[in-house]
Amino acid sequence: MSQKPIAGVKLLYATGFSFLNIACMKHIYFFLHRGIYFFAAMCFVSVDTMAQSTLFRSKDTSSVNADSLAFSRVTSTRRDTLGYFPNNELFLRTSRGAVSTADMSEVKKLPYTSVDQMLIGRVTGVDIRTPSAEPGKRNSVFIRGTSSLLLSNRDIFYAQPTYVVDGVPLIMDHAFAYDIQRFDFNRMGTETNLLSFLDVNDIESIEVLKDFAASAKYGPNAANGVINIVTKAPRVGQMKVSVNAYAGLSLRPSVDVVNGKYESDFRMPFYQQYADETQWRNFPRYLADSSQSRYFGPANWDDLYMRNGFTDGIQASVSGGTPYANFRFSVGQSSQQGVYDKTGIKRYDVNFGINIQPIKNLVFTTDVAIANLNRKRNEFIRDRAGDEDYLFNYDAPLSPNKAYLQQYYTDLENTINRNKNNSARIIANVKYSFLSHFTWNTRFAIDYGQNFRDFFVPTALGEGNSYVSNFDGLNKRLVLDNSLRYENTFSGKHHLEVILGQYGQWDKWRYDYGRAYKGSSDYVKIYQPGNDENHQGRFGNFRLMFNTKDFTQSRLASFYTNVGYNYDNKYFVSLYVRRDGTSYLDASNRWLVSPTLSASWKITNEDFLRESSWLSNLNLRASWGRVGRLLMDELYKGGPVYNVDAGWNGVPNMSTYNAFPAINAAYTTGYIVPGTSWPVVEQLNAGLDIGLFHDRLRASLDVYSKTDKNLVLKIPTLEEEGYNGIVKNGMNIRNYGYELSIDADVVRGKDFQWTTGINVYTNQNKLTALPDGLTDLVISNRRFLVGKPVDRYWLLINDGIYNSDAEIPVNPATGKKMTYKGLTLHKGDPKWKDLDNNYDINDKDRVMKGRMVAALQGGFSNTFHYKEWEVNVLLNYSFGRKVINQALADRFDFANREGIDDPKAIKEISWWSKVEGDYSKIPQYNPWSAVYAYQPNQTLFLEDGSFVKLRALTVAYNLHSQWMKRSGVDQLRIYATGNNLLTWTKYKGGDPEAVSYFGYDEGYYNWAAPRTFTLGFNFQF
Amino acid sequence: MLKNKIMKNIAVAGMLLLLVVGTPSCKKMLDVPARRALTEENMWQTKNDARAGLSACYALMRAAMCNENAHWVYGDLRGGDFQSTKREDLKAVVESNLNASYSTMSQWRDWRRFYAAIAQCNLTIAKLPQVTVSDYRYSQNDLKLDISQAIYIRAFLYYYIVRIWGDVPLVTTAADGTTKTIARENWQKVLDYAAAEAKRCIDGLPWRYDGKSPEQQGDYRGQGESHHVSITIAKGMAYTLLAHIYTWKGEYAKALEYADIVINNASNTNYDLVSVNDLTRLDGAFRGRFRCNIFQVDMNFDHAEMSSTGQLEDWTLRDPYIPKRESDIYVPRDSVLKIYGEPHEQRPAYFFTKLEDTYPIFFKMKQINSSVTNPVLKMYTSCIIVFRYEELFLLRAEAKARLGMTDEAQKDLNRIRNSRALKNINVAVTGEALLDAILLERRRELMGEGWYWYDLVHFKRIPQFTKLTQADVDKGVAYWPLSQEALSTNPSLIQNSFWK
Repeated sequence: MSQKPIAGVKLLYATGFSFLNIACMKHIYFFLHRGIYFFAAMCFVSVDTMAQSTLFRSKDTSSVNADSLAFSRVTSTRRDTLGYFPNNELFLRTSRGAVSTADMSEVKKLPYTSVDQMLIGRVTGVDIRTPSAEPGKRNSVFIRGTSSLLLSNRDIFYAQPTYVVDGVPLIMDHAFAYDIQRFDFNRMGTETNLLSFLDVNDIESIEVLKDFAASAKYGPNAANGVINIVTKAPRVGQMKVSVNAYAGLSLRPSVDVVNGKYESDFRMPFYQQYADETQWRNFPRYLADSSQSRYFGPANWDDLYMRNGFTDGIQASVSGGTPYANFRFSVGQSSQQGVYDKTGIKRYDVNFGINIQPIKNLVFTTDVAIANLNRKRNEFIRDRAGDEDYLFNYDAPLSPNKAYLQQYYTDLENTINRNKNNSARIIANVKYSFLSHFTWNTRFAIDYGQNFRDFFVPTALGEGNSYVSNFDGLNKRLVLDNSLRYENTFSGKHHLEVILGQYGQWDKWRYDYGRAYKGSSDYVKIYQPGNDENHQGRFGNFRLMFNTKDFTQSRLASFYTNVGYNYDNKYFVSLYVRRDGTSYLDASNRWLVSPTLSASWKITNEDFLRESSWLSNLNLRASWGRVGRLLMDELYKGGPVYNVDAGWNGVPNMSTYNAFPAINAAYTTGYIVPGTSWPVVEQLNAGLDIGLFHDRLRASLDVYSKTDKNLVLKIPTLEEEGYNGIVKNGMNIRNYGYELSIDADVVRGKDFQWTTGINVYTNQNKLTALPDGLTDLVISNRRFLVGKPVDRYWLLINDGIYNSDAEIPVNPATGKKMTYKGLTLHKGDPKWKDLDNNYDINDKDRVMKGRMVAALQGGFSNTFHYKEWEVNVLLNYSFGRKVINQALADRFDFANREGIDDPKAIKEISWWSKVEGDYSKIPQYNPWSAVYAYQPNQTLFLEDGSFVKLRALTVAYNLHSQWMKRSGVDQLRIYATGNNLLTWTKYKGGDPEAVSYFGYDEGYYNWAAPRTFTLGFNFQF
Repeated sequence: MLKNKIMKNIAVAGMLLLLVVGTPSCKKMLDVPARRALTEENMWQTKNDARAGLSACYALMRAAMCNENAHWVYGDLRGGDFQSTKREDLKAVVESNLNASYSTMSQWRDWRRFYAAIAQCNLTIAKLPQVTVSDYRYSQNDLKLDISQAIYIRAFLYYYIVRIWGDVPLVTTAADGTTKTIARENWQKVLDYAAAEAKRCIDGLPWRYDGKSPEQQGDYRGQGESHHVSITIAKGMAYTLLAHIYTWKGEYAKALEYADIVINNASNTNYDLVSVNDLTRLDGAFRGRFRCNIFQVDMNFDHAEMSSTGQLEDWTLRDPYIPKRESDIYVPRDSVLKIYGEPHEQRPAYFFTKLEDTYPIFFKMKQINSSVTNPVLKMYTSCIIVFRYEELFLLRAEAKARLGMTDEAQKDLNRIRNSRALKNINVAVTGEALLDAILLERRRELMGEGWYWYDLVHFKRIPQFTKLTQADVDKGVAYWPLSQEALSTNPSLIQNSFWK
């Protein structure tokens, strides 16, 4: 017995320092300030020695936990030992709101690098959209519906939930970089999902906080919902080491490759039927000559483009210590290779947490988490064009044949596409309990993220011109929270808790960006800003270098109070009131008071039910709350604004005229009406938790109605004043629905257990008001009507094809033939329904149709235990959503996509694959017709995107043996998983999940998640 | 013991309290200056603000004209000299199929960018006077000179859009975000306004920015005369604009009067004719600041004011000059031979190349700076020559011809013909025939400079030179349709009759 601690400590030294040596030195040292690393190392060493001496001293007390008397006032939270209190968490937690928790023991086994992917099918109220399975790429998550109009990528940024890690809301990327971008493809920078920073083995729990009873304490950060992540904390006790590792394989997907012959055959009928002389003359050259093996040779590009991807991860942690000082240290590495285009992501992370109790009742907690992400991105020509802000000649696509692609792939080797994200999160917490009933808590946190990208395109890929760019972005958030809690119980039944607190949040986003064209040689691959005196910079001509930077800061100051009362643990009521001030609004509008009232009735604690044999839990809860929504830009402070916006289509960054700087009224931003005020979210939630037969059957139902009010929107204004809109408050959107989860332990035998669970999440939304009393609004290709949902496509209704000019209806009043927006229809044009019978097909004949968001989604999970075996099967499903098969529409629209200076002319290498879809239902329209016959926004391309997926299948075996007990091994588990194994769907266009945020399936730009198999183990001693 | 405990508690609590007190006050914390957008109270404070606001008038004018090559779409394409190789949207313009459903087409139908430039002028004119109060360096002279430029640009823009849409709303005050509807104004009235404004601005403008006139002294904006030539608004541009406004209105006597002022003041204006070689060569007239350029909308490689879209080169060039197999538009060889059919004609050799190919290259503009060649990086820098001295002579010739001053008209016409090595026009060519000759000369000389369609309109030759009929013309085919966006946001607008 006495040998164990020594062994443990030795091992700790051995493992700890070898990890430090291997992982830290090599991979972490370079990206953080030396001091931080040094500090962490010193802490580690000092705690270690402290722990050592304590352990030796307290040899005779068999368990250090006996000492926990010292902590009698420090109630344990969910974190495995004392941890730190997320402020004012206690009361709200006991009264519980609508919270959905992911089962970490299952999630841990899966090879996901980011938190959002772990939630699919496992929690309710969450809609996760993954347009591409490119490893580590930014995704989006919507909690209880979308609360704004999603029209571009920028809007996605503003609708994301807040991720709270150990009580600290993380800072995410800002969308402002889109301001200077010509195309709405990727945001400048790395486009890496910042949630990939977290190692799943460091996570204790993930909860989705949906109603304001659960999330109001995060104030305006809770407007889009909160995903609350609690990491593993230091623990009191003997040193424990755990090692988790897995390795796996993502299988190369199969693709229906085609060559020039296929494409030529596909187009020929259209040419034969409709093409005039000029159109024939313009028949693409690469398809014209079938003797050319470049395009008519065998299609085997997929051998170069696709692969089996390896994925692996290892993480180790040590934790332990005395009640006076304890720690946890972990190091992790994980990497994932994509199956497409040699993509991948690699992460290194280090976490260090320490709790110290220098004097009684005073607890210091520090947590430092640093991580580094490196991402290998795709090589889409389109994305390169977007990065370069330059369109090349796309007349001749890449060859579908390997033999002709070698050079291209060699050239790709010469590119630099370095995408590095660094993150450091430092949390310091002081808690002091005094005078029996008071607790003081101060928390200070820094969340710091760096986003760094070097991008170089060699001459061979740029028509002889090289290109270089550098993006250096920084996100920084400081959080300071002070709170005082009073808690007391009177007469044994009246529990009262009062919290007073103050919160400050300082956010900064900044980036420096530079780009240059036409470098002097392929050897200069790193961007350096030029010097104004020289016409020649290091890279090349100074006139071909563009530097820009942007900076914004947002501050939030809040005061809050919470009064909670419960009677005998039966009746709970809580009132949370908060006053928030934002720096993004002017002084007269910047403060907002927002209350949240919640109550619950634990019916099973009533005397008449206490004896019940079948009802083990019955809890009724309700909450109503309001929180403010932070504006995401600083434009709203004092009426109309000025900016530099003197460019035109394709030239977003023109800023001078005749070398003189220009500053104009912000005509494209819109006229900002003075007096912008806080948008708010109001949410009503009612919930019921039931447990039957000793909690053998557990069910939870939540009904919600969430209304976003006073949202800021740009609405069209008359163009003759130059502005393309006026920006003002006044849009309201309501999301409502229910969430239900049922779990049952069907079999609870000694050797065999079976637990099954199903969860359902529904969401409906409705636009309830627009600014200025507008009721009808058209923005680009979408229509928004008050009283109608905001997630509908706006489509023409197909009704066949006009096979001859004679078939075209004639307006008896005028004698004119049916027109499309004033253009007379001809043979070969689509027969669209003329809803208003005016013999002109226009936007009035479009209907709002097809949900982009699923009406019903959720998961179905089954877990079987047999002795030491454990099997889990997770299905997730999504019903009632529609997808527009744009890839198919685009393929038919070849006539408008050939050899033009537009991204739509770009043919990626994967263009040489058959677009999935139901070809039989697509009529042979005239693709050259000026009516845009194959526009995606028609019912022809609208398809049912419902699906059921076998998301994960895991098998685990827990080893138990005398040997393990003897050697002090607590746990040894070996497991195997399979992911994305099967999909059932009616959708003909491939994976219905792999579509853009806006519901359009862009074909090969949306990579389907591959089948992945892994093997792994958890080992703890 | 208890006392000790309390004392300790107080000590720790006090320490923590310090943390709270130590945080800065909320007001201070939340009053963060905006970095990404200038608010009203921070704009129009200094001389620099004033000048930046004025430059924005120019820059937005350029943006409106360059956007999707609008200048040539309106001015050239509909005339039919240029044909589309394969772009269906351009083909639709050539065929006057202006309701066609292309994203570019909706840009061309839309006038917002022009009104943004006009709005910027309105704003600048309204706000500049207050800068003289807030910045002592901004003198009354500075004010007058700057405001005159903004007035000119606004007048020019109204002239420009009247030719495209006919009746247009006349907005002359700065926006306040509350206006809900503005009706279209009769185009003649709009032009009257533009003419009055053009006359108003003349007083404040110098002939040249040489620092030697009462209107402009010293270096303007820290730059010598050469920096401003053809670009910064001067008296000659205003007189030229007046000549054009009156020509469009059909008031030829007045047009002649103003054209005469420009030509008779050659010593003041320093304008001169240009050789074909200088017109078309690299770093020639389309590089800009040439004596023939009365008024140019500027691009400049040295100022990094270049782009890959917004210049005609983007549509007319191809292999071997830029990496592109086919140009977007071209002038068919037959047309070239027909238009430039006279003996000794030297322009085709300069204006075109690869004439033997199916798609000859229109080679008049080719400002690909030597820094972006070998291999080519498509960064074009040709300016838009709005008014050219040659054009003004032909305009005067037309005015004279219309006024019956046949000899005089022939003289002006011959001046241009001679400069292009053509012999004098037959003296017997008079009346309508003389007008046709002038039109033909304009077509030859100004091809690709955004004139031909407007010339067909006001010479009333649309049915003769295009596939459109007189009936179409009577119904108003000359004007562009209004965009759906404009119609839906301003309820008092009525679609142009032909496009209803």
